[in-house]
Formats: sequence, structure tokens, C-alpha cells
Amino acid sequence: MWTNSSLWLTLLILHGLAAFLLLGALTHQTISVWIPIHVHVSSFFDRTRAVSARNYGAAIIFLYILTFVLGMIVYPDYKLTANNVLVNQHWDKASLSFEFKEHALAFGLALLPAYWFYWRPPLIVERDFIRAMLTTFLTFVSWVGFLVGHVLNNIAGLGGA
Amino acid sequence: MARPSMTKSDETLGRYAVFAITFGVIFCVFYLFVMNYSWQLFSYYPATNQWVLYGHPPAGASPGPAMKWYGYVATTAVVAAILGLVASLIPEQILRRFWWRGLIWAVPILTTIVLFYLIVYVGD
Repeated sequence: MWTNSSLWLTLLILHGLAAFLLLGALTHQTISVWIPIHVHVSSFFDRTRAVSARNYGAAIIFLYILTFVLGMIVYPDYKLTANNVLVNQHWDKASLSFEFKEHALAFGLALLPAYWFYWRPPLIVERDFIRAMLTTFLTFVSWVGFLVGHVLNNIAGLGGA
Repeated sequence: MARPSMTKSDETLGRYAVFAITFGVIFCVFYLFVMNYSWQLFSYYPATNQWVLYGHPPAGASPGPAMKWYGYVATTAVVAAILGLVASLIPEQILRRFWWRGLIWAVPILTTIVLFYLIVYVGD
């Protein structure tokens, strides 16, 4: 069903692009909740800190789910192609890193309802810390997922060839 | 820490928040058990495009590699959703005796560390 199909390749690229957008939004939001800036903005880093984090919540949830669903769709092809390359070459650490990625991203998915609650306006002072921690956790698992996926793709090549 | 226009009291969270927090916490903890003991609701065999309940072997001589991850997520989501609903029905004054909202960030960090340990040192 999946082997020798170009459909998965398109979906894989879309999966990567969605992950890229998600990472941008999450990284901005994480930086702005931990080191916000309210004064004059001049440098590139200041502008990164000065984004309005509250406006990213809905987009992040949408992108996380989109990336996750696309990942679920292309996963069978990974199992039949890229994973075979890793197993046959005995790249156990690479194979295990994918396992870690898939499970950690499932944790992130489960936190989205709470993440939505904590980013729902009006933002409340007492919820600052939990909001920041949830955002940081989602950023961490998303970066892990992106880097692992990217490296494994490089190892196996597109199509697992 | 950002503090944009925040004034409302945080005395009570409401049913949705209790559900969301409980769901996230239970999911992260229970997932480790589901994964470690292979309690997947179903398995998928991509080579033959077959879905089977739990871990039952599919029909056919060589079904290829099994994918349990979908089943892990399904099992855990169902259990976490049920327990989240139950928790959301308990009055918050009673719930707070054995429930803390900070669990929603502390538990995922701990379970991720345990997850790393299980994958790297314990294995499949």
C-alpha cells in the first residue's frame, strides 16, 4: 500500500513544513514568556523577545495537531522503509531516538487541552509559571521531534533508499 | 515572566481545567505502563494493511512489522479521558486534597525522564 508511493513523500515534506512553523511559534512564545521585554526594542534578539505570546496559543495548538496527524499518516512508510535501513545498518541509537520522539510527542499532545486553558484570555498572574512550563515542555518535545526526524531522514535518505 | 493585563482571581479552575489537567497527567503516567506492558488497544501491520485488536497476530504467513504506537495512544487517551471526566465531577474543594494543578508541568517532565530510561536502558 505504502511502498513505492510518492504520496508519502509529499506528506512527509508537509509534515516537516508544519513542524517548522510550529517550532517558530513555540520558540518565540517560550522566549517571550521567560524573558519578556516591555521597553524600547532595537536588536534582533529584543524583537524576538517582544512578540505578543498570547496571540500564538491557537496557532500552536492547530500546528501541533496538524504536524502530529501528518506524522501519524507518514509513520507506516517510515516503518517499512527508513526504519528498515536503520535496523539493517544496526543504527540502534537512531532507531531508539525515533521511539523517544514518538512517545514524547504523544505526551505533548495530551497537554494541549491544559495548554489551551492556560493561554485562554484573560491571562491570570497566578497561572504565569504553569503557562511558561507547559510552553517550554511543548517547545522541548517539538524540537526533539524535529531534530530526530530531520537527522533520521538524512541518515536514511528520502524514501529510505 | 510575562504579566500582560492579568487581574482575575485564580481561586477556582472550573470543570474544563480539572478535566484538562487530569487528562494530561494521567495520560503521561499511564502511557508508560501501556508502552511497557504492551496494552495497546490495537496494532497495525503496514506491510499488509491489517488492523488487529490488542496484540493479536494477524492472518497470513508474514505480516511484517507491527505498529503498536497508535494503539498505545488510543488506550491511554480513553483511560485518561474517563478519569479526567470523573475528576471534573468531583467538587474542587475535595479534589484539592489529593490533586495539585502543578502536576500538569511536573509530571510530564518526570515521565519524559522515565521514558528516556525505559527506551535506552530497559528496551522494548
